[in-house]
Amino acid sequence: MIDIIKHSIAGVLFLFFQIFLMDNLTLWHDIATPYIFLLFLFMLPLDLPLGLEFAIAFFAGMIVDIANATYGQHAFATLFAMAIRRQLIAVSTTSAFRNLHEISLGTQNNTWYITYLLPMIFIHHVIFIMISTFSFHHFGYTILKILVNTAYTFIVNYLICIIFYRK
Amino acid sequence: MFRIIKFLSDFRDAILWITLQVLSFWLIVTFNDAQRHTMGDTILALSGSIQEKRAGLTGYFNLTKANEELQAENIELHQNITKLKNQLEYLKDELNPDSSKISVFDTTKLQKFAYKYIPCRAINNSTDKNYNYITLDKGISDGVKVGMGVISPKGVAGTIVRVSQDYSLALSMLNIRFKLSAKDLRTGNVGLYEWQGGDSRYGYLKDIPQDVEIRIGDTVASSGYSSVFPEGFVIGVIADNKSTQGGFYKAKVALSTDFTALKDLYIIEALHRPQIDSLMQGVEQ
Repeated sequence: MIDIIKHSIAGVLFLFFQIFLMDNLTLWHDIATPYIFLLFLFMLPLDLPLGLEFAIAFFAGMIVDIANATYGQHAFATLFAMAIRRQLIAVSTTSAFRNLHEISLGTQNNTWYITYLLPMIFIHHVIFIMISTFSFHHFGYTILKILVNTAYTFIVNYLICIIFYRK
Repeated sequence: MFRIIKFLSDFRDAILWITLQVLSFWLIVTFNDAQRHTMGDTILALSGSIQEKRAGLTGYFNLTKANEELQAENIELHQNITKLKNQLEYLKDELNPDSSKISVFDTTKLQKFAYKYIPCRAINNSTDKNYNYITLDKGISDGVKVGMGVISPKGVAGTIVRVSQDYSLALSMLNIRFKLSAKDLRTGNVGLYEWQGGDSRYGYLKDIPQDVEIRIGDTVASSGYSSVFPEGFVIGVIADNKSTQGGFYKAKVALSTDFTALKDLYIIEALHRPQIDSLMQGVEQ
């Protein structure tokens, strides 16, 4: 019960800062924007029903979409990333994986957490930026944008992890 | 039914995921301008190419119908051609002698003298002998008589010398015996046309005194004195005016009729000729 409240508050806060703060932290004329609300989604506990996980991802994405007038683009990308998430964890699970109830830097091994967070962010950004570009023209620019954005989002999210979640 | 429900409940997460994913994609291509336009263009190009391929495929099935239509159209056009040909023949008969040969007639003279034209065809012809003849496919039964003139669309061709029931023989202009009263249309001086054998393209205009100037390029035409041909019927064009014979020209005439390609000809009957002949006979006696 306390976990539900904790995650709910975290979700609200992440979405709030995503919508009202992160648009001011864009790099090089909107080439890169940090998407911190992904961290909330990627920290959802693994004992949550899968359907609920999809629903949360969809609605979180939709809220960001509505705020940014990118109707459906974030929802599509977050849904896709969430469908990958458990497969990625299953693949990368080693003895370093400690707790499936709390996927945070404080609970998990630092190296494992990076190898979990970075691919997740990358997958999400590939889908999201491809969807928002919706074209194969200037494909090199699209790839550059994916890489820069992935790095930026990862750095910001990792800082948040270090500041708020490390024990 | 139970199996269906079990299937749905087993895959409820996957179904939910697919549904939400499709829903978000639908939102993207519906409410985002750039994506909507790209999607619209893509769908248009896709459907266009599909329709083109389908048209190419189903086009074969319509070939039978198209073929029938073309055949019907063909038959109709053939019928029209036949109809028009008949009309043309009829009008040709109506308009003769004035219209179709207008370029080689002096029409002012035609009104005074009546000529009848019998269309015919050369069925045999020679140009390589000294005495050349043209065989024609019209004879007594068509009203052909000895002494009538023969013309091609371009000019004088010969005179009838022998007639059978259905065929006639014409003395070609390329015959040493062929003589015709001819004149230089520019000066009006009358001479005599004759052929001396050899080149089938040239004859000679003789008996015009040298004090008259005959130029290269002058048109030589029938004089009308012979009453076989109407006056002003083209024979040819002066090609050389240098050679003379006893104070008279022996001008080379390039014949306007191509004797190596004779086909459609006309036999001319001068309707006023018997009168003139009878006058002449009276004088001679």
